[in-house]
Amino acid sequence: MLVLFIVAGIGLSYLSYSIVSNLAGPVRTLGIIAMDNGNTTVYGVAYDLVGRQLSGAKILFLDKMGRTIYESRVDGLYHLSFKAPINDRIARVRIIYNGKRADEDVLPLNYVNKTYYILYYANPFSLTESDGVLWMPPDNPRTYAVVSLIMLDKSSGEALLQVLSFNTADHRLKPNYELIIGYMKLSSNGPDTTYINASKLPHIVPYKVINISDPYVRYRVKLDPSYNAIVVRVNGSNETLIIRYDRLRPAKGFMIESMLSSSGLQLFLNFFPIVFLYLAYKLISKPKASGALEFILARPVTKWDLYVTRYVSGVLTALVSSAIFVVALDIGFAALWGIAFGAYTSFLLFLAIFLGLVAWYSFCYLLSSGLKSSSGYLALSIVFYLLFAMFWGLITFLVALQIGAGFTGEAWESLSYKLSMLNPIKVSDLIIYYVRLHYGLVTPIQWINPGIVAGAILAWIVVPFILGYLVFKKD
Amino acid sequence: MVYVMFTVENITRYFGRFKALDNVSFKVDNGEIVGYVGLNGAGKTTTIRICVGVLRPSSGDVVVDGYSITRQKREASFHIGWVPELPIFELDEKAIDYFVYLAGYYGLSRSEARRLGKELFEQVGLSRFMERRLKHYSLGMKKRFALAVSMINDPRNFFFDEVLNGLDPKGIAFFRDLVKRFKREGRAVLFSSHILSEVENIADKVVFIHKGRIIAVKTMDEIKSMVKPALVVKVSNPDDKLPKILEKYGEVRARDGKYILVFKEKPDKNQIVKELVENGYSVEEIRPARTSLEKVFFKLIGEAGEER
Repeated sequence: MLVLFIVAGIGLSYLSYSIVSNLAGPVRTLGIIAMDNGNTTVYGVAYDLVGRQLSGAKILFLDKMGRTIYESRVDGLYHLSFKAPINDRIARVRIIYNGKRADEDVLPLNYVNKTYYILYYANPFSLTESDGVLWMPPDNPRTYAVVSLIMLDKSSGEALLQVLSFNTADHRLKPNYELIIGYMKLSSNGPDTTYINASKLPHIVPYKVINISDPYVRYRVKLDPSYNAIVVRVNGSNETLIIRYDRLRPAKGFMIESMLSSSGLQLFLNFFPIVFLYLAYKLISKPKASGALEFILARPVTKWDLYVTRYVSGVLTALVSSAIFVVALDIGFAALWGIAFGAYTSFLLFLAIFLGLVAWYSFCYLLSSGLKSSSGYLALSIVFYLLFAMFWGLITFLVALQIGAGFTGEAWESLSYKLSMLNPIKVSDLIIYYVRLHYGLVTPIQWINPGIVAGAILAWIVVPFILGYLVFKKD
Repeated sequence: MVYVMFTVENITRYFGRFKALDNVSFKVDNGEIVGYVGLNGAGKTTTIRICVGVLRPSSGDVVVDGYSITRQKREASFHIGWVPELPIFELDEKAIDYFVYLAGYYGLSRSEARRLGKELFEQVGLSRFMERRLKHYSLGMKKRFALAVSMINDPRNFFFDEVLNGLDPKGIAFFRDLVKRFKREGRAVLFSSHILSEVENIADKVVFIHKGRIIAVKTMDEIKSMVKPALVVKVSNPDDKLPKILEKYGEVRARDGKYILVFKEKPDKNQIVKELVENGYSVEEIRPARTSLEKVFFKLIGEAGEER
């Protein structure tokens, strides 16, 4: 047993490490490049998924053939000057951090006083961020501003607005202008970002006015759920940028989703049940077959005592391992990203893992109580394990094929959740649904409600437990 | 006044439709050693498993020191010591660790259990093997281990199921002495055994079971009185006259070159030898016939004629 738990402990540590480290992908940068006869000046910022500046990121400027023109280590807000071949235009900007990389979108502007300007910002596949460019009023010298909106938490509407300004005459000059922030409602189709410079501007609901006096500013903004776009307009001009936020996924939720679908967590959820299969074997099946359980029963205990205490020891194992796993994940997240799951997510995640393990353990407990032969138990429980953990996706696929539910979208999601109610290992997906729902990662499914979720999970726990006892006490 | 330590009250037990025990009743008194005798499959082990509370009867009950094994299992188990027929332990465990674990069920702390373990392992002759894993124990050692476990709670009632199986002569002698000590200490002992000569040597009373039914409960005195005394006589040169000579002393049965002399009044062995020698016979053996309990048992189950 000791060896088993050591192995399980090492496995847990490795899994939580791999889950968290695999999430270190979201790295971003945005900035402005000025190229003047080979003399290149870059002004930008390196940040993570939630807009925290990153230290030690590597930035590479590539030509259209993918060759590196220049590379450097940067810390957060950076300013670079280098000599680039005149013929090699920068076609791509790559940022690498902790082994993860992002190739950012490059937007060539035009020549201003013989200087060629290029903007770069997070590519649209980031899903959590939307960017655009604003030109300041055509005064001289001209200022560019890269505006980025990062959705942090969809349920609270918390978001981050980044504005990087660059004076084309002298980048050392501080900007000085005002941005009017407001909301508006867009139709369901249309682009994510719209730039407008016209005399007739759309009506907006004003939110606040912010003064831009530094090259890089970040503002926490609250997105109103009754609208779906934020409007950023330069005060005193028609320069307007409309960024819709209804399609953005929350950064935190995105990370949660990445974590939920990470191979590490799936590995844990799919393989850790083997420990409980073995535990039921060790606690009931094997001693029952060898008679050791009977020898214990000759002590001052009843069958009920024996049945319950051994069941509880399995439940406690599930409780402790789930708690340790979630705490390890939470600490890892907080240490790497500075974001805690929060009590709600942590609790639901813990509940899902814990109750899922208990449901599966109850099922194994029933099998171990009912079968006389311990090898028979092992064979049957492994068959069920393979069915529930390994082949369930295939079963869901076949059922979807049969009933024509499709393999993506709401119908597929709904079917997956319905079928998970028939599976003790997957029944806790119904709790994870609420985590996804909390972050807007899933469209609400009408038939799922807390009563059904609790009923399904409790049924998988209580019914096998009771049936197991009825068989166990019969000798 | 003799206080009844435990009573088996009308126990019936079915396995499926098979009736393994049919209305079994008997009692074991304070300071009494009772042998439990029957053929294989007669129901001895089933009875004992019910007595110690590991198997529920279909009907009936066992009352141990006033506690019902079916309704007051926890309390009753505090008064019971059991050595099962087979070593049904967690064999991967070290003997002392497993002992300590089992002692925990009686409310003993780890240190108390270890101290008691040392004491009892010493008593059963296993003190040198406490740290050894049970799977490395011989069958006899496993029996001794089970015996040590059965004494954890210092019970007043012992149930030994074929405890002599697998024991060497030294082990049998040890067990015999231990049971006699239990008797002196006023404990009640029920033990089943195939070694009927040992039952005969140890038991005060014998309960006979056959095909799930108690066919008789006899004290040793009653058993002895049921058995006709007999002598085994063997000569190297038997002939037709020999039975006639022996008939003077009792009923004669011949088998395998031996003559069994069944008599009513104890004859003088020297007189028989003298007469045989005078008649030219060379006497190889003359001794009292053994296994009186076996005779009674087979007589009771109506198979004596076929078996002997």
